[in-house]
This record gives sequence, structure tokens and C-alpha cells, in this order.
Amino acid sequence: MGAGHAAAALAELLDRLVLVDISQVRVQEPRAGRSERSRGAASRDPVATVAMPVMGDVTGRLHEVFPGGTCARLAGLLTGGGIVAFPEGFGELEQSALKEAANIVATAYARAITEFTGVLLILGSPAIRISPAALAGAAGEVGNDDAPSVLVETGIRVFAEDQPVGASFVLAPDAPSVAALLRAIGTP
Amino acid sequence: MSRRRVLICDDAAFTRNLLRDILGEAGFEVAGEAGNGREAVERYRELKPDVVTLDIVMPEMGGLEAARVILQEDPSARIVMCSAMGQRAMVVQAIEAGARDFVVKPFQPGRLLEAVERALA
Repeated sequence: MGAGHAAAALAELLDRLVLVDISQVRVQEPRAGRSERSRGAASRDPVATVAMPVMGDVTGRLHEVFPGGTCARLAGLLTGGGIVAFPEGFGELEQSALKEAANIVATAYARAITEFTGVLLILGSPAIRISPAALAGAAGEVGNDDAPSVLVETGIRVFAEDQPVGASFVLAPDAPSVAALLRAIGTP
Repeated sequence: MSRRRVLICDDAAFTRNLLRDILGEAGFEVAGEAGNGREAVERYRELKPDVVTLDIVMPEMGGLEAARVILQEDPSARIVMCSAMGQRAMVVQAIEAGARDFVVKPFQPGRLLEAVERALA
């Protein structure tokens, strides 16, 4: 449901047909307890992580992790140019475009969660961090130290693009909010 | 006839560019831009535009608070909220704050122009 909302939002933003693959969803254990193996292999490629605070009925953070290839193609589509070299070609406008796309897609996910659970999620201002190869953190690196988080891996196909773009969304509610979310979906 | 003047407020430079292009091509004069609500209030006092577009979630001061401040100082101000936060609760809050219309991002140019024209009517 969230992926469908997100695809519709991205299609509107890019003015192109966007298809979304079935999302892979898993619950990640608190970061402090994760083994190196469960964190997954750290990416060798640079990534952009857009993070925004979650407010409303639940609190926490939402992270979106974009592989470098996705950043390059999305920024190109959004700014009307060709593929933008990432990260060296990412100036203020490209970062702003990616942040805004991330904000719109994340808000679509948040809206779906609100519709599904009745729990209001309000997202704060996004902040972007570009990690060079040596520091690249995969989606498995983000989340809370003391509470589980929900990882959604989504593949997105933009019509007329030869390669799909993909992103990982990590909803990391604060510990008290995990219980609130579980109650909202009827899980004891 | 003089061009109608608009003040654009959004923390994303990308979106400000988009709004500037759409409104400029439609014949509006973009009188100024602001990157947060506090700047929007200051620029409104200085420029007295015909209409303001405000994002909701911005650093320093959000769009809802900015709308309240602007309308307190100038009850005839015409404000259009332009935000990705399209949940019903947010739309209601925006209208209660005094916004004339609410455009959910991402938007088609026609929807934005319709909202701005409606605010000016």
C-alpha cells in the first residue's frame, strides 16, 4: 500500500510511468544487538541517506537510503539534465532535488501507514548525508539502538529508463512508539 | 494591467525553482523567495505580495505558524499551502490557520495555478 502511494507520488513528480516491485519488508532488531552478519554487507559504492524526524502519534526517525546509481538517475530526471555524476556532481540543486523526492515518497509511505493504522505520522525537515565509499552504510546500518525498526526494500521502475532505481526505507520508531504501532494493527 | 506578485516559500531550492518556473510562465511576477517561515514573514512585510505559497514543514518556522503571523498582521493576505503532508488532519489545520487552498506535492502545474487563482479571486 505504501509502495503504491510512493510510486504514484514519484510518477507525478517525474511525470513518467513508474512501476513498483513488491516490497520486501522485515523487522530489524535494535542496532545495538545486531551482529555484523545481520547488518548485511556494507556497500562499496557511495550512497545518499535522507533522514527525517517522525512526529505525531508516534515518534522516531525515517531513513531512506539511495544507492549511488539511483541518485545519479533520479537527480538527472528531476533537474532535467542527463545522468548526474554521483557524488562529485551533486551540488546544492541536486541534493535539494533528491531530498524533496525523498520527502515526497516518504510522506506517501507515512500517509499509507496513517490510512492503514489510524496512527498519524508527521515528517519533519529532511537532512541528506552523502557517504563516500569508505564510509558507505547500507540500510542495515541505520535504525535505533534500543528498539526494532522496519526495513522496506523497494525496487522502482521508471518507464523509459533502462535500469530500475531502488531505495530502502527504514522506519525507526522510538521504543514506546513500537508498542503503539503494534497496538494500532491489532497485534497484542 | 500589472502582473500579480507572488512570494514563494519552501525550504527546498528545487521546489522553489519549480514554483518559480510554473508561476513565471503563467504570467505572475515572483516578487521574492523564502527558505523558511520566519523569512517568509519578513519578506511579506517588505514586499506585500498579492499571494504567498507556503510549505508546511520547514526549519526555524513552519508554514502553519508563518500563515498565522502573516494573517495576524494582514488579515487580507492570501495564502496557499503547498506541502507533501496531504493527510486530512494537516489540510484541516492549514485551512484553520487561514490558508485559502492546499496543494499536495507532487503537483501538476494546472493544480497549482488553479489554487493560486482561487486564492486571488
